[in-house]
Amino acid sequence: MIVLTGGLLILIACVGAGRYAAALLRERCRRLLDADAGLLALSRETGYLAVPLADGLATAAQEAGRAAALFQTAQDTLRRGDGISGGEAWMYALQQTAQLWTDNEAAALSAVAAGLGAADAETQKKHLVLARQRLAGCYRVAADAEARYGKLWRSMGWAGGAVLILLLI
Amino acid sequence: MCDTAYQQIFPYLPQSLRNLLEALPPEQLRGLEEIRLKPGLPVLLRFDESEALLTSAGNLTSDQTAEGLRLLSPDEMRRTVLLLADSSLYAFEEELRRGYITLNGGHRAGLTGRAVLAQGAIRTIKEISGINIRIARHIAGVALPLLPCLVDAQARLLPTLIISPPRAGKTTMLRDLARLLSDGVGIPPLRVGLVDERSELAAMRNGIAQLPVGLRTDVMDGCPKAEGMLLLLRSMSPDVLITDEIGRSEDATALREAAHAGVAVIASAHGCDEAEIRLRPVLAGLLAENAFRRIVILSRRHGPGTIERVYAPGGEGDIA
Repeated sequence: MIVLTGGLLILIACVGAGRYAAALLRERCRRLLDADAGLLALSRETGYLAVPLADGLATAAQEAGRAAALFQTAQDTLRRGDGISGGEAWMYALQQTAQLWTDNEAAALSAVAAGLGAADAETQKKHLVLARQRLAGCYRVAADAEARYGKLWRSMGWAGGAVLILLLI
Repeated sequence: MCDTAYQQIFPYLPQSLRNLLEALPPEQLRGLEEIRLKPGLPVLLRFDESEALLTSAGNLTSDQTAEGLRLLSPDEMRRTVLLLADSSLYAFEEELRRGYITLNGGHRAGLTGRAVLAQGAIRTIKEISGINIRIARHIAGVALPLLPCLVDAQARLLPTLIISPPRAGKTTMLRDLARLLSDGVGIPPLRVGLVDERSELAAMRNGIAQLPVGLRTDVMDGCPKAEGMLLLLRSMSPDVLITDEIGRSEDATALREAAHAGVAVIASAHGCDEAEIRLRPVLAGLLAENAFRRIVILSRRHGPGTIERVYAPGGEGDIA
């Protein structure tokens, strides 16, 4: 009975670990999609509606789901800042949320900072479009990784658990 | 607005500069009219009748060669621009094109820099090299002595032209007239249409008038005077139209249109007296047509808004 219970616990732990690894990959894809939704909202707010940047970031944060912290931190920094530029606030927010992004994703998102709030609407829109294009590239890589390794991690959880049980028995 | 109106503009200055100005005794800042900022040059404060430069020690001096003058750094200049524009220059493109940003409280920051042209017209200003923050002062009741002079025996408001040199209180007088007429102070309340081409009268920011213009006042902000007057005539059925600094032929056409609709117009023009105004063909034409039944001359003799003379053109004599 003890062996059976132990084996079951090992299996649960391994399956859980595999699922967790797969979920991380899935989560990364969703976060990038959410970041893109936030950038789209920021583009709309600052371009079409021409609202002040801090308000635009606040709206973007509401629409950015898992990436909300980036927009929210940028907004808070901007509101607190002593004549800080939008670009400076954005880069600070990117540093503060560094754990959410890979190096490539952070590089793509940093394109937003160029001229944010300190350039005319047209220039700013171009930078936002560029950042979204680079982020779309990151998403393709993340989606590919999720398609390739998501199922693998889940299967490895089951298989690894089974192998471990057999070895221990 | 009280004598501490200048405090409303401090949040638009970088912290380093704000600290120095906030530490100054209030009596030294009384009567402050302008703060002029240029990178690499001392911070200049302009008062009613004098000027002073800020020192690094937080004092004011009138000596341009004094040691320790507080020079504005390029970074402080950049930060000031961002503070003025809420870190959102893209949202102020129209204002930049016109060369000024209206601030909370109705104050205004004039900007100079490198003009970017498109098809011969200014598209925007880049590389901002000069900021002049002008402190708006609303003097409630300044137009009160004037009001009885602007109505006829049937208490109907008469078309009026206010003439004064710059900084003599034309805008303050027009704004207070709008408030008094709209709120019905001294006469029954009227529907006032205010055409504020340069955002000076109502100082609209985000759709809210920063200075009191009255309950029944409809404001067309940033709109050319002639178009604004015609638009208000068509859509808001005003009893009176108020606008500043008329002078173009389109303005005269709109003025005539208003007169035909039975709407009195109160307008202003730069000048010292009627003779000077008559040198300008459009205004001379309007005066010849008796488009104005009252002329008001203002000066700074006893401070901005001093009423020098109110009279009916065409030899009817002085009213006040």
